[in-house]
Amino acid sequence: MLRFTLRRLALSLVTLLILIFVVFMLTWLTPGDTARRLAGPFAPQERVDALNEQLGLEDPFFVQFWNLLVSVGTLDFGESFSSPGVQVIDLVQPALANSAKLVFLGLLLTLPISILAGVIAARRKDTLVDRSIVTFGLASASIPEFVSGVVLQYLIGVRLGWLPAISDIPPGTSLFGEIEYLLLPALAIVAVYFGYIARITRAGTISALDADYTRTAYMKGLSTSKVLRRHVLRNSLQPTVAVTGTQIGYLFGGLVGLEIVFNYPGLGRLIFRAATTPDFPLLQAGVITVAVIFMICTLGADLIIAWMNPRARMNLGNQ
Amino acid sequence: MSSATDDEAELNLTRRATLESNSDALQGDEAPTLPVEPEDKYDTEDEAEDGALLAAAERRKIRAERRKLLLTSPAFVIGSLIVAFWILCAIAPGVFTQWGPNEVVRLADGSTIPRTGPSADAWFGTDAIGNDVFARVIYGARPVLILAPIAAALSVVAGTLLGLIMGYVRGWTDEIMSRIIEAFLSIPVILLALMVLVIFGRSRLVIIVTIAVLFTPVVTRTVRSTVMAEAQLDYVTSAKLRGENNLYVMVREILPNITSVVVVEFTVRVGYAIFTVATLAFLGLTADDATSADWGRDVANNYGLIQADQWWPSVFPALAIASLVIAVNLIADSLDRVSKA
Amino acid sequence: MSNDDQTNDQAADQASDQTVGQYADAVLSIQDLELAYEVRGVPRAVLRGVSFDVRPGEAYGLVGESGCGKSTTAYAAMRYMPDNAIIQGGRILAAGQDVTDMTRAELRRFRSHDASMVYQDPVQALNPALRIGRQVAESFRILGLDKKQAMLRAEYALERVKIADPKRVMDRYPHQLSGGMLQRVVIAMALAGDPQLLVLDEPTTGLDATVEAEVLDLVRDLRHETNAAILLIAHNLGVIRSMCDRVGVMYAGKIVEQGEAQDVFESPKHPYTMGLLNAIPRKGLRKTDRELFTIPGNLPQIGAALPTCVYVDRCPLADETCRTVTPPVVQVDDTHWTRCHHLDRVESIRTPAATTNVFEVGTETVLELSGVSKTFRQRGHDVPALVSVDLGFAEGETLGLVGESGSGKSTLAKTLLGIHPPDEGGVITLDGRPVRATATERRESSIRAMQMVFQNPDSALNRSWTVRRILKRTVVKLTGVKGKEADRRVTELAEAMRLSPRHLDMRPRQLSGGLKQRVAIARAFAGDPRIVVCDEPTSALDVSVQAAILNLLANLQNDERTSYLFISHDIGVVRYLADRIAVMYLGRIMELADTDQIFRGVHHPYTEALLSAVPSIDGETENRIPLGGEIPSPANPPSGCVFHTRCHRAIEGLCEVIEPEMIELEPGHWSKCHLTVEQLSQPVEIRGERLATLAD
Repeated sequence: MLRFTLRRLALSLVTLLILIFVVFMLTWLTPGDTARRLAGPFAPQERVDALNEQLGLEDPFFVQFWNLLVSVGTLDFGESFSSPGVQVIDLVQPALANSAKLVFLGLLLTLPISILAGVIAARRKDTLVDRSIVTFGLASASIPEFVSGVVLQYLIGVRLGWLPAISDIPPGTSLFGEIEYLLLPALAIVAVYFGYIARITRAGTISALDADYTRTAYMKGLSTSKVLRRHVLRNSLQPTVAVTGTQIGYLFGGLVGLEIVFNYPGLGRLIFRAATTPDFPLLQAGVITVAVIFMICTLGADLIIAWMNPRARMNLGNQ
Repeated sequence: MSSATDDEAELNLTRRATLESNSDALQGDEAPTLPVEPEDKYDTEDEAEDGALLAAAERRKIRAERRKLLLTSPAFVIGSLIVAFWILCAIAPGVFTQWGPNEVVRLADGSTIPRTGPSADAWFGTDAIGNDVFARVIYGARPVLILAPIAAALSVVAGTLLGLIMGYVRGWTDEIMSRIIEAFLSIPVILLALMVLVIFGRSRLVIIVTIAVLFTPVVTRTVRSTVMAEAQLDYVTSAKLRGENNLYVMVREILPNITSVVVVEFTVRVGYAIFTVATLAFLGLTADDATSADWGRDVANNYGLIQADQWWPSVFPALAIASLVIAVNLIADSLDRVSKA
Repeated sequence: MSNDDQTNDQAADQASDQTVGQYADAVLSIQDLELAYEVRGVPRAVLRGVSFDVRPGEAYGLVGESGCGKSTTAYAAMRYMPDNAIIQGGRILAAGQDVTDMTRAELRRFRSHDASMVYQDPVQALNPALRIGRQVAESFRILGLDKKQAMLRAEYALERVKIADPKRVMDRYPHQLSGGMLQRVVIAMALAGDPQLLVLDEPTTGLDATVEAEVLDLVRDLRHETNAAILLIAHNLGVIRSMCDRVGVMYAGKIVEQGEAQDVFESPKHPYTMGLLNAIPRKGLRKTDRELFTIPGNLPQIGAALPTCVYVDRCPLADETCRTVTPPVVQVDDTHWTRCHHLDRVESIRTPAATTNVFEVGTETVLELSGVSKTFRQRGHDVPALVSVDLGFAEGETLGLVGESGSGKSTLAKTLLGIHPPDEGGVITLDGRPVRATATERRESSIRAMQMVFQNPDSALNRSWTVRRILKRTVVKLTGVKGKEADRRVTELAEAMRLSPRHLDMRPRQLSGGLKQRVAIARAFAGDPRIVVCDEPTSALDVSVQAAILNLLANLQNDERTSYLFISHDIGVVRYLADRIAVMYLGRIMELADTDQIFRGVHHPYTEALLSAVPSIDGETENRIPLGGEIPSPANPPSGCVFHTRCHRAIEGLCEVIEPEMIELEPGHWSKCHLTVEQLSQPVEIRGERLATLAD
């Protein structure tokens, strides 16, 4: 198990390295003079030169790349371009925390109902119930989250007025009190992810129901509920765990549109602002944070799967 | 956000493989063997002919059955009708509406009606300027339907090519490429697209290429796993045994056997490309000038008005996006289902 | 055993009165069972009136080719059927209950207490995520035992199926155990509730003959121990013959002949049974004796209308009566009956006459391997899959290659063909000239000289190509001829394989298994090969189809003087076709001899064990030599003679120290063993009972 974890970790680090390189290349390739843009069109040339010096923008390619790696290692990305005097890390941290809250609430709502729906659909494969769940899931997963966000905002936030239409959380709200503000965007997350999770659970459950070991369990004389609990679910939920792992990764930072619609200060909106400013240190830090979160989530998912299935443990460990 | 369906596809692939490998006692034992054949010289030639005719008829029947399966699938029919409607809108928007996208709606008495809800004069209401929301929705189909299919097609071509090479040649090429693909997949597509567009500008070409490049890893992964399964089969060994080179094996032997996967993948990608184009537009990253009709941007420009209970200028274009993506995915789903039947 | 009071005598009396024998004390009694699968609203008949009884302590076997409905019958007895199955008539009585008419609770009780099942693929039959102990204990928990008791009973149950170290096995997951061990576990679970009925559905299919023999031994022992009624389904006639008291021969959803195993196998009374038995090379039949009997035509489709005799379309005796009148059950004697109008003429079905083929084996060596090894790198370890193999093929010779799975048979084939290169130092020569390591580097003449027929034609033929394209591309690539000339050659090839011209424009999917294999053979012969590797070419086919393919291969060899490397797990088939046989173990050739030499006189201890493991169709019971333990990992082979860990003749102090050389026991008979001919011909004493041990 340890060997598996270490191997998996090493692979993740290689992937992360490549990603950092890609991010670095993108900013490095940016046409135009960054220092000039930062200093403003009318700043004296000396100011621009000083800025170049200070930010290391004139350094050779690999020195700049190395500097970025050091930043990642020390979590010190320097000052933000757009908010002078503020450390990048101090901007990323609260945004990350905000995203985490939203993602947590979203999953808390999504997982139970979509797993239940997936199992029901699998058990009633090819019936009307199954077709409805599958088609509804497909449809809801097709809608961009900002679209469902807007619709929910109108229906529940404005028309019905049940929940705040905007997630501007007043300072001093308790953690519990924040839930009220987060509920609408969380519901938008449910709308998008219900379909994914239900469909993948359905597929996994169907294959577990068709498996020979399930037949063996029935032939032992076990009741259907025991067969499901002891034999089917443990195997059928593995793909669900894998997909959930990946999707949690995407929820951090991927919800740009949703965070904008609800005016919620998460990672996505932060990165969006950093990109449009442009604020390169913030942008790099934000994107790399998202990648790291993604890797942690997929690693976690793999570990859970390995725990659920000893055979997967062996296979993954020796990839 | 583009990866769940791919995971599902991958799951289906592995599932199919296991299903095929363990011959189910019930089905395996009783599976009807289709054609009649002469098994040895005791048979007359007549029976052989019968067998052939039967098989040819069977083949036509299978094709006809697949077609029928598609055409009788409500998901496919509804999806196709919706997509066809939006394509018509993109080609000839003037047929559907008397107003231009930037034309201010004037009543018979010449008065304008900005910020008016849906009515007989403007079915979807009017926006702050007084433009017809319905007209903007109809005209808004065009940018999305130009960008998305081209981007999807490019990504599928590139992904198929890479997937073939990685899945067949394996070795170091595959190892390195796999790591790069994984790096791309660890960031939501929208964030990378955002970065690229901010840095390289936002012409149509850049948008198409960006989406194509960012979708390529996902397509590659799907194709690769399919190709890997194919490459295990003995017909590939057999081709090597008659001295075929790698290119021939990949293009002539393997490629024809993965077309259904590629077609389904293309349809799925079109759906996601629409999704992505709309999201980019919502974020203000469109190729066109600020006043042209565009669903995503219209949502962005007007969702703030929801608080003032003016929902129509944002909700209608939002529903337009939803309808198109759902329709494309319904088609993809039916194709997938039929190709596996 | 609900009818204990009824005596067997009474039962026998009843049987003779009735058309289809029924026994009052039967544990399982299936009566006129008609079952259909509903496909798109149309019911398609699978079982068309199946009747048979199984009594306590009796083993009843159902044989037949795939699609005849034997597995459906087995699962119906447990009432485990797909949702679209409809019972259209008849009854299933098991353990005194009507199986078709049970509530859910009754069915659960029936499965946990009265009847249980052993399945074809033990690897899939166990839950990969749970430890063995828990899965076995579950079968006891359901009987009402608490956790601790259940675990204790599970341990005892594993001991009962002769597992040496039950505690350690209980701690493992299924993927950590071999197929044979897992099947023991499944059997242990099946016996948990002391069932009156045990249904075994192809319990040894997919296992090696050596493992199969051990599993069958176990079932035999347990049967005497438990007095359970056993229903055994197998397509392998040898398994049925060696295990069952009575057999039913199934065809197209009907039992066409039933009787005591010996009667049915030695004097079959139905044309189908005769055909089936004659299609198999048995009683030491060789290709030089005669062709194999083949059954013309195909199994009728599921759901096809078969108003009278189900076999009428393929029967050599069929006449007008057969097409108009349903054949009655004709008693041959008290226990043996057949469904045939022409009992008197069954004996007249001729077996093929002696062959005119001469099978001349040349003196010159076509292909030679010397010192060929192949080592794979796996997880940083060297795994030697082939160790210094020397082999030569004469023109027109068939070399049979046998050995357990994992012995390196396929690796040898693939290395020879250049699919993967051998290790440095090994030399492969074709007509005296060395060839390059991989096929892609080889010159055209070497490529066309060596071709292959694969086990699974579905995998071997490109499914999106037509037969014509498959053959033409091969002709063009291998012979260099193009255009019209290539087309002519394709037609010729097809004719030689007895493929009709119309088959050329079909895709593999539209062809039956036998036809597909003919296409694959045509492809192998497209470039007039000198040597063709046949890797289990008939193991995916039914026996009647297998016979036709073996005849074709034999005739082609006779006409073209091609050499074959023939790999098969079926010793009878190898014996029929091969001139010489090589026996492999852990990547080494242990014995190499003429076929006759292998089957008479002395042989290597491994060969001895291997041959004694094969269940005989002819009812000979040889002194079986159990092969203890599992095949060691090639990554970590035993010291000295690699076989010493399982050898029943191993000499302590010698065999585990020194690896024996290949020595010539008699002219042309080579063996890798320290023992002399005299020592090898001593009968061997088998010590005590062998237990299944874990391979670590």
